[in-house]
Amino acid sequence: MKVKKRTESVKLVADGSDDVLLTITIGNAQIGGSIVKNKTTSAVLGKGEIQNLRLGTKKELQGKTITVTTNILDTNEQTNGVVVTYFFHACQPPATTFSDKVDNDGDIFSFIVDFNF
Amino acid sequence: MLLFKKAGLFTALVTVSITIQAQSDVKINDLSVPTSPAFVLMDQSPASIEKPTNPKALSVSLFNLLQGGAVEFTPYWFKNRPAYTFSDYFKKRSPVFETLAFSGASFKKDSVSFAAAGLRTQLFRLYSPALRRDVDSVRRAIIVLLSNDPDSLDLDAIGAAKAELARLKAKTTFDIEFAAAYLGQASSFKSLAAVRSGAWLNIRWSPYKFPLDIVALARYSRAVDPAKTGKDSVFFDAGLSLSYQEKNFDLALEYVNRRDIPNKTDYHRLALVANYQVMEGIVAVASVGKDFNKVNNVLAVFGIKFGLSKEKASLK
Repeated sequence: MKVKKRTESVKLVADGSDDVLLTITIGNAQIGGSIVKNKTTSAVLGKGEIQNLRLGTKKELQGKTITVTTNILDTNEQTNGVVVTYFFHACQPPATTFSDKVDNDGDIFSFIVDFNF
Repeated sequence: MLLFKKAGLFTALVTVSITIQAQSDVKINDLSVPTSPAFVLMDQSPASIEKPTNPKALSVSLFNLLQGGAVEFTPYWFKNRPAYTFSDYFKKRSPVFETLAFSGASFKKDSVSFAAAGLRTQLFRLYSPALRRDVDSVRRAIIVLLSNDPDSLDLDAIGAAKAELARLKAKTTFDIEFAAAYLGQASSFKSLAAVRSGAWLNIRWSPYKFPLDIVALARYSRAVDPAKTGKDSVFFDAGLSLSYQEKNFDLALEYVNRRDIPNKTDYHRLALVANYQVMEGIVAVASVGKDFNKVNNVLAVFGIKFGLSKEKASLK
């Protein structure tokens, strides 16, 4: 079982209307788990299935980087494609999607994404 | 020199046959929906199979197919489905498009070209609530294992959980599968004419955590008479298989009916097969029933299977 990694960086702007919440959806009928960290302090903000995870207010997030690592296991025999969507409440852009594919059936794909506020 | 090398299981089979009549024309396993229907109609297995994952790769594969080769693809997954989660897929009772897979192959024999095409899909599936709970439990366990830094993942544990998930997913409580295939031949692909065609339908009921398995199978097959001097061979086969499996004992009842459509004749085969493990390495087998032939068709086989050693002999 091979682990393929991809690193990405995304600029986000909290709109200040509400707390920023994160929801992660794994598509293509695959299974994935995530770990959300504050890049500076390495504090773990959440892990597992991420749904409406509170990241903070606009003021709290200003200048911070949140690193989200999502590992997707290829469990769908019909495709080796993996796709993940990060939904941010009270943020612009509200959704960011990344897709790729594993080299062999049953491999793992890791998306390591820095979200810069 | 005779050396004993550690290898596979070496089993001696001693069978006492009271009466064994002519071989049946079709076995119950022949009626199972094939994984790659196009390749079943060919007498040869493709050496390698191309599996394109997008339309561009498919067009290249299809172009290569004209020179000979084999291809398999599932169009539904050519496009990413960001909102389609594992749970959505697992809950879907009619995954016709998600599982619709096409297979194709071509080869040349002497100056004649052969081309085969086939499709397979799952029309309906149902998982029992207990099975759904167990699958969801494994899914959650996998998510926990995956929620870590990539360099700290426990790959052995993930591999074991994935294998368990695959085992559970394959245990649908009720499912209906369909497949069809066509084989043509010609001196050129433009003048392709049918040689063989077939269609399969399987309906399976397998209660979860209960050792019973009931499968109803049907197959339509047609082989064209190339000389056009006689009739085409056209058969409709229908079968029913009931099996019950315990730790040391299994019992299977198989019934196959073959309808020879041009000749308007029916044949059938009924067999009851029992296996009992007397002790490790020794299995008693019994098979009784009726075979396809109209006369001398009683099938009765009793025997003992001995597993003599786990060492395999080899000459050096």
